[in-house]
Amino acid sequence: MGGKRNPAHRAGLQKAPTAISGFDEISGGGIPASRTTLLLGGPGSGKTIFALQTLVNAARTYNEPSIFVAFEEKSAHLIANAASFDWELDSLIAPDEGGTPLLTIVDTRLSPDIVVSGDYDLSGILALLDTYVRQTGARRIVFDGIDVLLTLLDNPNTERREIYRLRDWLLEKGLTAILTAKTDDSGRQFPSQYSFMQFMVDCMVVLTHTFSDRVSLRRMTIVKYRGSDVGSSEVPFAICSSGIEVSSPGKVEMNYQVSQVRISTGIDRLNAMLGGGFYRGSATLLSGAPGTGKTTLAASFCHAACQRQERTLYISFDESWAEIIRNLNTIHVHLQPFVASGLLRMYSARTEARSSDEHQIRIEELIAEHNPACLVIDPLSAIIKVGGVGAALSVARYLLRLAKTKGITLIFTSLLESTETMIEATPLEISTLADTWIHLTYLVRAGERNWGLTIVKSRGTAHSRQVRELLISDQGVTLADVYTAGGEVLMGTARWERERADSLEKEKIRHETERKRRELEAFEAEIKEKIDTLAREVETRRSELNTLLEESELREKQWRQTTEDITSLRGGGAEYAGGGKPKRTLKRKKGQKGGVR
Amino acid sequence: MRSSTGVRRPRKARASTTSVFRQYIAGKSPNSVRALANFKKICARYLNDDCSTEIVDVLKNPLAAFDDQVFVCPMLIRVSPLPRRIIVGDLRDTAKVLDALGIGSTNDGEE
Repeated sequence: MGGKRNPAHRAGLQKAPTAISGFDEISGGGIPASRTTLLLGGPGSGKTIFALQTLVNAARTYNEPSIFVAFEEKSAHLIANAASFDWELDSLIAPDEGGTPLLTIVDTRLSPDIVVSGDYDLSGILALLDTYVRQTGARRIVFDGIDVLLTLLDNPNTERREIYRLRDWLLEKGLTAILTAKTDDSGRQFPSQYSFMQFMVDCMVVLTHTFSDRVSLRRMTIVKYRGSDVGSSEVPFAICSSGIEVSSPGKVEMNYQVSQVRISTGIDRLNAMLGGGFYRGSATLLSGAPGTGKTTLAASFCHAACQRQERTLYISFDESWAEIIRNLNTIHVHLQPFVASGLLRMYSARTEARSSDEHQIRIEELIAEHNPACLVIDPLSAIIKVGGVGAALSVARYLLRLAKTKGITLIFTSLLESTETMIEATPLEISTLADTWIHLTYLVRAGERNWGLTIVKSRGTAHSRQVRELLISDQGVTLADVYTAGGEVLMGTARWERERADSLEKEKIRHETERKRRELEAFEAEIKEKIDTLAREVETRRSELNTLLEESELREKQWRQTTEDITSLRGGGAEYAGGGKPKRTLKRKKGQKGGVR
Repeated sequence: MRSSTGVRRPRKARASTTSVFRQYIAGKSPNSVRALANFKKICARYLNDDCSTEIVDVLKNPLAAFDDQVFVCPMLIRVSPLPRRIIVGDLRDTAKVLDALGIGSTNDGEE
């Protein structure tokens, strides 16, 4: 918005919108109003369509009447050809109420057997057109096939004079005009004899139609635009049911809303690995060999988006969407109800059917129609098959930018086919544009093939760098731990094998240590048990000895008592008694000593 | 329907030999003025003035020119005898005109 978007207003140059999808954007508002635009192109490059469509759109969108002057084609042919578009020319040419027609086609095809003798001029047609302009109030006019007219004029001076006459007339009437002229096939070489026309017009647009890898490529270039700062790069366009659709590369400056919101990937563990999920409006690349689960992952994302009631668009190439839905049903990802409710739009295309540009423009159309919050393109690499790598890359770049600008969360898958280096390079190139790159691989473990998932990069996210196993079962999709990969990007089975061996070795050592520890513990326990038993024995024996000592003391006491009793009974004889006593004491001492021990 | 202006020779009942022409001009533009003069000469010299010519000024009556697809001027149309002939230009190349009208340029010297 604002002054920047429409530099025409600043410069005081009015622009007349063509309402041709994309053209008004690349031209900064349309063709110059009340001025002349020259449209050049080879045969079949779409000049007539562009010119006629501008008039049809002016009538339909702005209710602006206009005149189409056909030098080359019969008006009947023109109307018949235009019937393939949804323009409904008839209602414009002959309105039901009998009112003023919004479109007047003037058939000025020269009879081939016309004879030229001497000098002539365009006053006839201009007089006729004068009348039409007055009658219909036309604001726009197209001269289709001005080169045919010039050929007839046959004389460089006459050509120049008459073209200037035409220009003066257009200026006088203040009409917004488009002149179309044929060039050679490439559309680049403007016939030198008509070069003066380049200086006469205010805007010059070149259309080209070439073939690359047997696929048609249509390009449009605004070669000149007086008083307007218009990018002169080639932009692709396609001819669709509504006419020409120009792919607008968008603004050069990248400024789009950046969201902090995370949205679910559809897999809880993956959300956790990504720190909560994908950023809304981010672009994610899912790469991997065929059958690594790219579609499944993408579909899980779609499923989650639909469950949040977000409009979702799923574009698949070379696989019918009905098949995708059927296959996903087996793993409990049911998309059919969302398709039925209109929340999910699924679109399948055969890649060979169109050029990459046409695919791009069709995708643009679908985005405009469905207005999705989430978009899946599966696989984007399919576009490479048509139109060559260079073209496909620019398409990929464009679509990524488009999604960003519109705040659409984009998931696109890409096949990695290492045998074809050109193709392999492409996802790598694309990957620089993607915010998140998830790589899927096969992982052969214990004689079975499993799916491995690695987050190669994820901008603005402290993501997990571990490889996880993608488990796809009839219960849905989950992730399982595999083993630490040292934060490295893992590629190929060999790498996996080595990692696996490392992991096994570690495990073995861990087990061994554990076993040793257990052994020691058991030994310790055994020893302790033995000590306890011995201690108990010692105790038992000690108590036995004490009992014995007590008994013997008691016995001694009794003996001494008895002796004393006998002595006293015998009356005196203390020396006798004393003489006998030490003998016994010594004996007792000996016995006591052994008893304690 | 078609109202002609600047008619020099009103239509008459045509004799079988009489050629009928319609000449479209654009006002007083140099080409148109020359065309009128040139055709007058040709009529007098090669057709014995035995021709009926309707002159239409496209500036004054533009729609009149529509049916004959007159978008370059001046234009001379031979309405009869058939085949219909269309000659554009100021008619200064007499030989081309005569050739188109089926009058051999060999007549040039004879008449």
